[in-house]
Amino acid sequence: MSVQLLSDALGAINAKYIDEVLTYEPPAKRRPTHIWLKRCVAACLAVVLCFGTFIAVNAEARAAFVSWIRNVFEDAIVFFFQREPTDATIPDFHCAWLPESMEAEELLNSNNQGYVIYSDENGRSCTLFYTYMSEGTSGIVFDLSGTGLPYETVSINGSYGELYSDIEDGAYNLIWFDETSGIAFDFNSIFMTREEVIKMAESVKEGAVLDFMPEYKFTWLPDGYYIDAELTRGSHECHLASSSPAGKNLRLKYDIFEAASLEEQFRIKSETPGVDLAVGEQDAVLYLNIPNGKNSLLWLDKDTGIAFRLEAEENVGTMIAIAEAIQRK
Amino acid sequence: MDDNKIIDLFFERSELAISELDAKYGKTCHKLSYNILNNTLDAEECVNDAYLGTWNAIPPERPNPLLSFVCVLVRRYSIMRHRANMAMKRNSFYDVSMKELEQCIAAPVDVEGSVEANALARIVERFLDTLTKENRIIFLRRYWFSDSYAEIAKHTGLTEKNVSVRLTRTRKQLREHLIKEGVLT
Repeated sequence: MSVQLLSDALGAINAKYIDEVLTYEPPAKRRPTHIWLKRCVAACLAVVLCFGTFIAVNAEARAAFVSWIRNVFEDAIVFFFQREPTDATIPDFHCAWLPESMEAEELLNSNNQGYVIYSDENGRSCTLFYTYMSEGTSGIVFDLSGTGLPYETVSINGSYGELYSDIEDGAYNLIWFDETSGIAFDFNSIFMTREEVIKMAESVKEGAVLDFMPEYKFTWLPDGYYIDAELTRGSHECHLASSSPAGKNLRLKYDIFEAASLEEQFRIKSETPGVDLAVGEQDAVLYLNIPNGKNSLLWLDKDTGIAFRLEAEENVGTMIAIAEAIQRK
Repeated sequence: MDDNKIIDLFFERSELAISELDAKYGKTCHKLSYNILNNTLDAEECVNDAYLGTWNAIPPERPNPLLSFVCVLVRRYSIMRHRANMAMKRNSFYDVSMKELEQCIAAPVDVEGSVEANALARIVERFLDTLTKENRIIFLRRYWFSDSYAEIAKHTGLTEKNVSVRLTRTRKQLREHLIKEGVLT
């Protein structure tokens, strides 16, 4: 079966499913008091059930206890984090060792957590997720669908970890806690062996994946704008979005320049009239009202070979100012 | 404007129907198309094609709900355009989400290589019926609307991590369902 066929099949499902998605309203967030109550229960349970043996005899566990609490629910295991919240931005992490033909597909790093998705052409895939173990951040949840999964305790470079396995399709969830950095790592895999999972986990090191695009950021935006989303960042391209309370939004896309022209790179029709401008010392071209209601400013950084497209509902001067204030992270 | 009034405008062959449709649902349609095509100009054209398709379909159709009907057309035109553009490198949210599904259905042998999309759609519907509402929303947000994890998290009130884990599990369940239905080994 091809993915195209499956995509076609999805396109042919009854419209009631699509309507369900379009009209879906998420349940109201749990009240803080409810969450606190649950945490208290979790903490009490952990103390009552485990303290005597678990904490007393195991130094690692004693250290871990102050950072996280493992709580078993009917259909999930939730790790509640206990450390003081931090304002620090979490560093990038990646796996220094990868199985043959596996490569990084997508990554995201947003303040206190991030992830890298790896995959290969044989359908094997894994995600390295990492987060500060700060109180108030989301606990890591394994959706067990009520079945329960076997797990074993492991040591990843000296850090305590738990490896959950689902033997049938080689799916693994490996979580480990680096008490030194205060970061929890969660590694999910499918169609991979236990040895590969452990080896990838042990190879995790600080630093961005080298094959990925350089990162850029807005260093200036017009009043009222705020950065609300960093969209996918991949080995070939990146999107950065920003919006204002007035509902205006702007989007920056940058990509390795591989086409004959910027217009071809960003697929603007050749007959479309543009205005020649400059962003800093780089040649640029502005297309008015493309896409509809916005303007598009295109330019190429000849030093890095990165092509940029800025879309915004702003005038020429403002767009140039935004563009010139875009810098590498 | 109420959906029924917009449909009435279509029945009256008033061009206001398109502008009212765009005013009410244009944003959703553009987002869906952009997720698939990753190109604003192409997305614009596909949404316009979908509006034209809606114009041709109404009357005699009187779709209820209207938005789902238009979204189906937008997705169809966008995927057609995407396939026409396949000579280009893969670069859209649709590509990424489809690659996930490709991994899910990877099999050395096709049991039913000639299974038709409509027959498979019924199988997929039966699978969707087995999911919880929340997991069904997440699955379709990812593989029908090609939304990113961050967008799904925003729509569902979950964390990106939770979305990721749920999708991994759901893909596994889909694979098991397809095997059970005899379309995968």
